[in-house]
Amino acid sequence: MKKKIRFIALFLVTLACADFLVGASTKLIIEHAPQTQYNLSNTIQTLFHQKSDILILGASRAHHSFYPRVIQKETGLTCFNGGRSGVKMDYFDLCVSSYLKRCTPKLIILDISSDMMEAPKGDQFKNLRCLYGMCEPLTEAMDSAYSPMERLKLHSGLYRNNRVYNEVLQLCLSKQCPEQCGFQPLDGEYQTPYVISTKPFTADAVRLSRLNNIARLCRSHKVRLVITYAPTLRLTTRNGVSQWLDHYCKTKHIPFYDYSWEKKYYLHPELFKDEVHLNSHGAEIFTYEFISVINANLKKRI
Amino acid sequence: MTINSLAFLLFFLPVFVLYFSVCRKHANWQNVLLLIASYFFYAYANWKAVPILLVSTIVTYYLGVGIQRAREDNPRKASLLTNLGVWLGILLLLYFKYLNFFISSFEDLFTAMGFHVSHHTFKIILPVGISFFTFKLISYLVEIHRRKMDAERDFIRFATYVAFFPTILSGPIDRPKAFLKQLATAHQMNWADIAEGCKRVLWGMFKKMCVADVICGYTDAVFNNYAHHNATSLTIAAVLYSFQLYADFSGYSDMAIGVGRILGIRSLENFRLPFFAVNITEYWKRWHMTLTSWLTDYVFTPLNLKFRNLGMWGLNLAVMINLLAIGAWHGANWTFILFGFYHGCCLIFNNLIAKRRKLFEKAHGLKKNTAYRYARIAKMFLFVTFGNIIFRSNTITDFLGYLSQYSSGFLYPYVAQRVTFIMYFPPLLLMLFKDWKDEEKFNIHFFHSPKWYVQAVSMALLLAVILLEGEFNGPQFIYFQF
Repeated sequence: MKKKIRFIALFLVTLACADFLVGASTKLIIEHAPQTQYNLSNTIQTLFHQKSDILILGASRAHHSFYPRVIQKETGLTCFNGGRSGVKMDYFDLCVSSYLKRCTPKLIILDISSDMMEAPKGDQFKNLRCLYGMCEPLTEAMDSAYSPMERLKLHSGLYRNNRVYNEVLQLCLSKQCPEQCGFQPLDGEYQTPYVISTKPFTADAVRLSRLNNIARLCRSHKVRLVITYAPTLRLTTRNGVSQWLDHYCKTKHIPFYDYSWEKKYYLHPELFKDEVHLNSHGAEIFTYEFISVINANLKKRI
Repeated sequence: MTINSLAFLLFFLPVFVLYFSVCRKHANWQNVLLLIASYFFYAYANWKAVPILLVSTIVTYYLGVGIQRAREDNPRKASLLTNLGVWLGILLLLYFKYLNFFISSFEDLFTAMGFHVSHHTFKIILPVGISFFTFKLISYLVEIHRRKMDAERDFIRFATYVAFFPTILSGPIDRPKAFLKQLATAHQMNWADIAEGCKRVLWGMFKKMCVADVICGYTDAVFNNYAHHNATSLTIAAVLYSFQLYADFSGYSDMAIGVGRILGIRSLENFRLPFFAVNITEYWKRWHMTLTSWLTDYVFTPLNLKFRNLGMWGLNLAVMINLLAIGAWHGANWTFILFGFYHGCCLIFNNLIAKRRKLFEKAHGLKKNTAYRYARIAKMFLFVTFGNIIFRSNTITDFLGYLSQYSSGFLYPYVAQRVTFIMYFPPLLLMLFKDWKDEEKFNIHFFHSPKWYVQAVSMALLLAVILLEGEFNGPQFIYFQF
């Protein structure tokens, strides 16, 4: 009997040690995370560290389209690209609220894609669970989204880091690139011409409320919010997302800039890496063009 | 509710506690508890199929009793009843698994012949585990008829054998005699069994959650969009799919055997390091062993006896029918038939060259040559991997498309994210290392160490790896569909 108790005790102690080590190392890495081009790095920078004058948010298209270095050079203001692939509007709502708690930027540029406004298919916080307990708005959002059982499990360092620990470790191992300020340039040229999607767009009610919340927060903090639809080769028709955004922004009095039907982009697939993402050359051209929009909006007051 | 889920843990803990507390003194009570738990588990998976399971169990039970009574006085009646039971089982399978397949295949055939046929397929929901419990029922009747066992008089015990919850959904296919014997006595809590069972469950979880479900991200991406991938990606996906299939299915078998072991019940082993087989015959003795031994006993051996006058060709004919049956068992799809045919051809080829190979090995002293053995293992793996491309393809057209895509050339492979791709390999290599260690009987024990502290630390670290790297929302077990 004594042996069995010793066995179970050692088993539990080892498991607890592993749990503590993983949890503590994640916390340490995140607190001292260097800037890399990866998703988690951008999330950490946006949620914890950045205090730039211009904040760019959006899904992968934003991540690969807006060149902060060009913006910094042309405007003299600090800029950070907080784009992250595969996330919904809820995530950007959290980014804006935690950012505004830390500082007040002069301008927030939000690039919206149709995916961001759709209801999530699975657990949308799955890749952000490692940050549970470290960022107040994120923790609150997870607490309200998860069941008590799931919340209990999140107290385990191992479970919290499930399938993301590689990404956490990657932060230490991958090349630092603070000069890119969150932007990830893409190499390669796309060969296929543009396509027209006739798929009608409908915004999910919860995602819409998150977008409304971003607009409300920016207004209350007197931060200028600009919504964009960056160049793409997947164009939409009357029922598409860009048309919906146009209507939405008019009713909310938010400036909206739609680049989807700009001939200088959609007729030039060589500026793209794939159907929806600009390559580094395309991103540079686009950002230079976008400077005038930034300057115009910086002059305007809320 | 799969064995690697929290829901299963919540279901299993009360069963475990009741089994070894209230019911521990009476085998009957333990069987009643197991039966209730098994039907609950099965109903949770697919409640609509419960009547099918129940009715087929009752019918088989009475047929078994009838065969037992008739086999002494009236052997003809015993044969008739056995045939009736076997055909009922086969018809059950044919109806639920193959009816729509036959209808659409006949329609295709008539259309190809120039006739217009308007067909009507039925909305049949396949009861989960039907292939597994039907085979259990058939083997029970045949064993009684062959006088290898007596009919079970205790209905509860018999029904528990059929519906035993760890194995009903995906095997192993237990044999009635050995299993029913275990249910005849009450099981007391045994630390060694519990520890061994926990180890098997943990290792099975590791295989399923850290290997199979992680790899499937890559294999699904390539197999479902093969037209967009080059030959390098197709090859990597095919190789990884072989490991995925093994990790998924043997992982489930490990968990099922482990859960049974915790309750003091020993199920049959289903896998014995199949990737270390040196030829196709050995491979089928190591892969899905309970299915192959079942088919060997009830299909291959009778056929081989029937065709014995044909000599070598009789043997090969029996082999081919047996392998086609294995292919068809997997489901109603021409890819499975082709899979069986391919393996049948490989087995026949192996039989034909067996003598020459032995002479060659003897002449060159290769029998105990390690390098030669590993070369044969590698060759065998390639054969199996090619067969698994057929197995994984949704249609024959997809399979041919997959092969024709090799013309795209060996270019830089598809890697969605480099780190994610690299991370496929450490768990896979750990799994293969353990298999290699078991095959070569190295003196590294991990959680089978004689030292208790090595065991405890190994098990804790394995659980930590599962919690950290396991895919908790992974896809269903591949063999659940069969």
